[in-house]
Amino acid sequence: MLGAGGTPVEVIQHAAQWAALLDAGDMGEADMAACRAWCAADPLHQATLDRMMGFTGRMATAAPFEQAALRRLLRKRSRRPLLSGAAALVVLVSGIWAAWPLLPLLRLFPDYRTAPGEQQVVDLVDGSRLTLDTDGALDVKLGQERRLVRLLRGQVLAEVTPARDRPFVVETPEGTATALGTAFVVRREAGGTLVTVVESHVRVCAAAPSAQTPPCRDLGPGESVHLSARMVAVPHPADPARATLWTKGWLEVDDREVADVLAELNRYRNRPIRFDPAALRGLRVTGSFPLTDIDQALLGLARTARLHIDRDAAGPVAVRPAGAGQKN
Amino acid sequence: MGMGVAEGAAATVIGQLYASHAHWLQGWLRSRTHCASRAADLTQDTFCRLLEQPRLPPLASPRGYLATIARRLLIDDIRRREIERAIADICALQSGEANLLTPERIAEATQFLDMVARLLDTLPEQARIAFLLRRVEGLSQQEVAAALGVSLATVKRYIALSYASCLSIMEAA
Repeated sequence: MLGAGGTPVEVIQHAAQWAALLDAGDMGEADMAACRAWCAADPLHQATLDRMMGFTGRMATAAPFEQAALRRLLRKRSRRPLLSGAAALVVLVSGIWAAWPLLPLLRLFPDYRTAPGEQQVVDLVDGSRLTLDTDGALDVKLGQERRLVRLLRGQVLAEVTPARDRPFVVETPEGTATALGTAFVVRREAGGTLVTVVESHVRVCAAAPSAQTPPCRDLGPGESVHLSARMVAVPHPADPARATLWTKGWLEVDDREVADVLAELNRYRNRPIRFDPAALRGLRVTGSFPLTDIDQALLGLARTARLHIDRDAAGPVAVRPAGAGQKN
Repeated sequence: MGMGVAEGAAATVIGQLYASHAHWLQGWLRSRTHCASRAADLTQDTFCRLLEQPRLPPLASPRGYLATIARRLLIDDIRRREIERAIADICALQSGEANLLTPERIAEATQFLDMVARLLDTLPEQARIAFLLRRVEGLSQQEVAAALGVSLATVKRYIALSYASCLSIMEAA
């Protein structure tokens, strides 16, 4: 039996099985030898496998704009099966996509996203620049009325090109931070959103403000505020240089709980450093740690905070050595 | 010589089909695209497809047959437009890299994404999700297995299926 293009179906089938094994990257020496033998048996075998692996290679080396376009396409399709008013086709095509239970996967397809340990700079067409930190995700919509960035996860530095009557808004579920021309950092945390102003002024508004607090507050440079859906907290001073140091690949802490610092480093790792927050309570640290090399940062932290690092198959474990920095 | 006669006969049959049904087909397509020029283009494409076929089956229902081909072309056309739109959106959003693209590079990207979209259309749902997690999200096969709650062997089967489908699509194009 032949495939549509003439390659025998059993060749396609075998090649696909080899490709899947190669893709796993954990083939033993015996399998490797068998694969080589199969390829050597017929030039068509080798050519078929090459074409398959070539597609994988093309996907792995897709340009950022291609990845962004693909994500946009996937999102659009999962939301709305068809663009045109082709009524008869809606049934047919949406049948295909309706079978795709993508809703829980939707958040996997933002316009831009970064893996743990990765940062991405996005230069927008209005001249503004976004720097997305580790394990982050955001959507961008440059409208006529306003420029909207929806921060889905992580933290972002927005360096905004001023535009009259076209505010630049960063939105989280807790509320918005709006600027006309400025630089500021928005960060999503477990307990809400943190906004830090680097330059100029930003208006921070809660999504569903309670009657007892002002729904919005205006922040100046060097001010930081915690935002929850119900309220904008009272601003407190923050060092803009420190708030943006992550964009340079550094974490700087001044008298912070070691557990907080470990949690921060974990944002940059796929496999977390494990630790018991209760056991580390009261242990504080001051210093700078490289975010581009978390292993190095962990060594530095261990040295500075006199922390002990164990390792097992699942990775590092941070342990407080007996007597170190006890405060009771 | 025999081939020539067969080809000539097929061309005559297609000519008759065109005379009797092209107008109807164009109307059928216009009611679906709401665009006269797209309908005209797709009508031409439908008959071109007929001409490319090595041999024409006997047609009990010529209009049903034409509509089947036209529907497939329309789906291809919609998918391609979606992709072109997605690329244009990204280019409109972003300066830098995306703005330096040559028309050739954009055409190549469109073709590549079209291939990916076709593959996604072909794969059954679990295999499609496995493919996306592995290829787009960069999860390892083990991680995909954990995410889907299936065995590693099953993930390998899904991945193998995606490779096989991918090749079939390349060859069909």
